[in-house]
Amino acid sequence: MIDKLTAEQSAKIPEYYEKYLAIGLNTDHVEMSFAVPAIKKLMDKIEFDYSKSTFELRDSPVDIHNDDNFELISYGSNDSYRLGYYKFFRNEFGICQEVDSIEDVVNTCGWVYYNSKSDLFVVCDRPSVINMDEGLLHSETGPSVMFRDGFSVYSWRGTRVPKEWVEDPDSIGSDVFLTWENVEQRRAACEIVGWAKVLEQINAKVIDEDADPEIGTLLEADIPEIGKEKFLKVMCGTKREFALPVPPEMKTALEAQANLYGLSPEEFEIPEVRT
Amino acid sequence: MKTVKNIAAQGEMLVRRVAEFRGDAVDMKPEGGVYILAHSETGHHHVIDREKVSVKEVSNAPEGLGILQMIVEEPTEITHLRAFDTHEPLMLGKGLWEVRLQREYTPEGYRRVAD
Repeated sequence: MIDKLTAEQSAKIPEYYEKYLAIGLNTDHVEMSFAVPAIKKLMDKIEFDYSKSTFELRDSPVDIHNDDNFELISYGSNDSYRLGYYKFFRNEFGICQEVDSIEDVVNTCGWVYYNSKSDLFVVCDRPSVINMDEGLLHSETGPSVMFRDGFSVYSWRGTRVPKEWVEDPDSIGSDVFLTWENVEQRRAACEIVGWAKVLEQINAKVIDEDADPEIGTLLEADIPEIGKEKFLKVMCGTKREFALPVPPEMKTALEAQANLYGLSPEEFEIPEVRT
Repeated sequence: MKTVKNIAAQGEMLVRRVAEFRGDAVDMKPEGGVYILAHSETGHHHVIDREKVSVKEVSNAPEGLGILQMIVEEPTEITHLRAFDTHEPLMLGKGLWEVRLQREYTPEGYRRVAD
């Protein structure tokens, strides 16, 4: 068991980080003249006969990923962080299996799929765009990830969000701030629009503000499409703020906080720690 | 990692020591080497190692609310499986613990907070 790293080992972590991050962020077009030998080398390792196989490049994984005839068979550039993790422990501690044959594939390909019915290897091209902010997929103006056929992913600080939220934030209806089912996406919508504007848009009125931001502020909103609704604006242990709808009979932030867990204010104790 | 004496929150989860368990409960099935205490659509589950813990799920919990009963035999951590904005692990000591999973109100009734 490894209890701690030596100073030399710790000093090497940034090297691995930089090296494998650069591979993951590479947006160059895949060159099949490099990709195919790398895949063959990996197949040799598992003694797989590829003498009759064909190899094809596709612009994005969108058609293949949900096709049951295709199986993802190797890490690609997008998974370089995993390779970096294994390589660190392999090189610095002599543990973990040998992953050199996968490294060539990661360096030269996006994801690699195999269709056994047609003996076909499909190499997915790298994305043409990758936008990040502080280590998270993020773009305020367009896709965070885009492939060459236009298939795109939109993200707000690591949370995947609908395209229109990023491209046209004014299209985010007031109901989204309180009723969008996924709470992380709901939080992202509030951050995209900005909390001050959100509170204005939903005509929020403060009912009770607890001194502890982790207990939160009880607000009443008046949204044209929905009517009056109470919600708790609350900070979680990671210092991000969420809006959680609570029943109309709530009178204090503490009562609303307890209600989130099905407890009365008397039963609820303030957590010693929130993470 | 934070050590919990009596009560703590990790994301949408409240964990508190209890003297006894109330309500009917059924065994929760572990997945792999862990119990998934709070399930996330995006795979960012809150989990606890199955080795020194047993977990039951209260079957008649109020609408929208998830309540779990955990017997911790030896100190064990609850960890959050997310690489960013990660909720720090909580270390629970030996004893009886109750986990409550946040719910929210809708005009149609309560529902579990989904992430």
